[in-house]
Amino acid sequence: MLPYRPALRFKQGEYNAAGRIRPAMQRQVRPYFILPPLIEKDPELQKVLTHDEIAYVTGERIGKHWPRYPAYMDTQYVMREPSDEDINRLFQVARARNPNLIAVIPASDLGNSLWRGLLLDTFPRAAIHLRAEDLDGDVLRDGLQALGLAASECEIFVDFAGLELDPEIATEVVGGTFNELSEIANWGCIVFQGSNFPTTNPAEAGKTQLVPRHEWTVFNAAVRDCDFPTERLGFSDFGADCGQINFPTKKGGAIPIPHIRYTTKTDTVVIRGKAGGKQSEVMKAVLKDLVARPDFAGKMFSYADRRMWDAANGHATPGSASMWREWNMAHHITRVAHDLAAMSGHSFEDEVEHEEPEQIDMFADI
Amino acid sequence: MNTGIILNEKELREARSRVTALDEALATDEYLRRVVEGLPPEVVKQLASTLRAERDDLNDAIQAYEVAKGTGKPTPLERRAESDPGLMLIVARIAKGYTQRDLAWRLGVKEQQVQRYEADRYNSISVKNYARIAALLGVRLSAIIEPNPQFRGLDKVIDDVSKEGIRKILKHGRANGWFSDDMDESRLRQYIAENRIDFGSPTFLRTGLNVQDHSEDVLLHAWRARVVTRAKEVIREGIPRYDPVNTGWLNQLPKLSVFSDGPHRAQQQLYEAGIVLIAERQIPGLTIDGAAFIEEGVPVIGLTLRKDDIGNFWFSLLHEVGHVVLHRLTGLASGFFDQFDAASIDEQEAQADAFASNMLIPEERWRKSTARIAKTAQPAEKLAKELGIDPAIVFGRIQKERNDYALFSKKIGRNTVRKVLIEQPEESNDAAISSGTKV
Repeated sequence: MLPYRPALRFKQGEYNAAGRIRPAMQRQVRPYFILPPLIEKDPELQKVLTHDEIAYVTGERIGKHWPRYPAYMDTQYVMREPSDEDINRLFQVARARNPNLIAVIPASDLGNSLWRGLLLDTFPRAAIHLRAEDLDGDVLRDGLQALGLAASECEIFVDFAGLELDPEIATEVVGGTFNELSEIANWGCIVFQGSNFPTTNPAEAGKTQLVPRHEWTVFNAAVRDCDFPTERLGFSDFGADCGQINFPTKKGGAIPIPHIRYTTKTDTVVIRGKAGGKQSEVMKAVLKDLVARPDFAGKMFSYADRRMWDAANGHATPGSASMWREWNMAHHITRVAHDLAAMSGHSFEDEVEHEEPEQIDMFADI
Repeated sequence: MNTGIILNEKELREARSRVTALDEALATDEYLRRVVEGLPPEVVKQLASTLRAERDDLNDAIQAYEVAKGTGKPTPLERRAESDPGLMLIVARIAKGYTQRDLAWRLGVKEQQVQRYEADRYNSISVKNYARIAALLGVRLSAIIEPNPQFRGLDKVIDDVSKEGIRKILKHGRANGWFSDDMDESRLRQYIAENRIDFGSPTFLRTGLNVQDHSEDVLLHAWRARVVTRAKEVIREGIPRYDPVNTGWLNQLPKLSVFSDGPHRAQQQLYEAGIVLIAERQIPGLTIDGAAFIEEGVPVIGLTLRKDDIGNFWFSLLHEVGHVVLHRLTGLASGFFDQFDAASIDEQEAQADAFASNMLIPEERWRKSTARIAKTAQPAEKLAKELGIDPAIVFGRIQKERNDYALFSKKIGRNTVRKVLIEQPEESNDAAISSGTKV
């Protein structure tokens, strides 16, 4: 069932999380980096980037945060009407930093000769991204033929984002889709991709909301039901986030909502801070609520859990919006990697970390 | 209802040829697939079972005739005659080894006279003549008086019918051209009483229905009577004989949904297959969607179009077609009266549901369709296109499965079917509730 293939927007919080999880886990995680639309200002550089700059910046970030292990790179959204040359350059620069980047090819674009030059020599030579609603055997067969690629040499991601994942109905649909795909071709791997997380923050100010991880439940049930070999099925969710990539852009910077999205075995717990007040205090209260929960996995579960525990207990600052995203994602990746490993009889050690030395309050007794 | 009874050599030849055709169709899966070409596997399975039952019934009818004729033992044929006094005389003649000419000679009448008697099943013969033939053929005619007879006068038959129920029928009937203005309460009561005697007690008609209260029974009777009357008019004009072995027309039926006048085309196609389809508004207070029964040997489907949308129409229609196709031998004579929003645990209703669902959207396609979990319309529209059906059927199925009727509510073809299938009251006064009350 491993590697775990989290679909991560290639943003600061996400690439920091991927880059900071422990190396033993990184080897079993293969991020599916979705380069977000960079047609607006880059949030880090605070400027609108040219296509060349996008290629350069992406390459630099790959080199810094994910230089060693394989990862997928989905370039469908990153530029407005990119030329083949733009995409080529993007891969060229990024692969100079990490040669194991797997090109994600939209199923509808398999016939484009651009992708032929971007195939890797090792498995998987490419990944195909297919929106579940667009499944069409002829399109896939013709596309593979045009590409000169055997289905067994690639992985196909079936994206159920945007679909209703209520397990009662969706399990049959997902299992049926796996079966249909396996009848179309002998895929190297079929990867389920989906998210039940809503597109808007589900928790009201000062409240906690549980969002069921239907994508995980549905995947597990469909794996049991379908005829395709389990070891050639993969799981991809969108971290602790929804599957929508293109959001309407808002003018001006939105004020971040202090909240945490914490993945448990069954749900995403969304704890949202009270409206008003100083952001750091509100967020500290959020984290205090989190670590007091019985489903908090413990401070040694991941570096992010440790960081959140520290902040809740006043040993560290409660961070910024991009750090909250990083903690959400790092914890989520760790959680899912653990669970996927368990499905195939593997396990990961807890975080091996020395307790941070704590300064004794000199005047505690006074 | 069974296949009927074989009473002469011509009918015997026909029956044998049908058994041969069924043997061939059922010999291998490949043959069967050819016979039921284009139908979903789930429906093929249901039809195979029905065809086997048809064959068994035909073989039973053949054997009954041959035993009576060959050995003189009338019992199996007698059983198929179901105590019908007229048929009993014919069975007796066959068992005695008499030809129609032999019997005519013994009666001192022309052979054609006996032919006429038998063609009419002795329905119009006098009791005196009946007794004479019975005596000759060794048939004992008897009558029994019950020790504590319940008075069955017309008033007694309808003593549970409320004035309110009668008024409701009168109002609805007048508004919808069921009968003339001179139909009054007392005539309607008499009509309902006669109707009950013809069709049986209301309880008998409750198959598949969740009757809310007793007053609904009389409404159901009146609705059925109206449908029967209209069906009889179609039958009188002449209709092809329904052949349970011929299923070639089934596959095309759901595909007619893509036409704006699809319901009308379906009505025509059913007629060509020997089935009468009558769309008749229900009487307010009666929550019935459809019915299927036999009238004068012809399968009749009645639909109220209570919920006027495309998905409901095609599901209701295919459900009732399911009763005709699957349950001809096992309940159609009694009739099926259906209410689709009430839970039913009846096995035959479940079979008709499965038939309708699979005919419209085969289960194997539905199971893996993303239309089931889509938040946008495109997957449903794509599936409908692939299946060659109206997308409204898929949207209706999604609503039902997700139990969310607000979903795609503008895409289910609301208020489109009645316009096509139910004539406006002013134009439709061509059939009375009973043939005796022509408008």
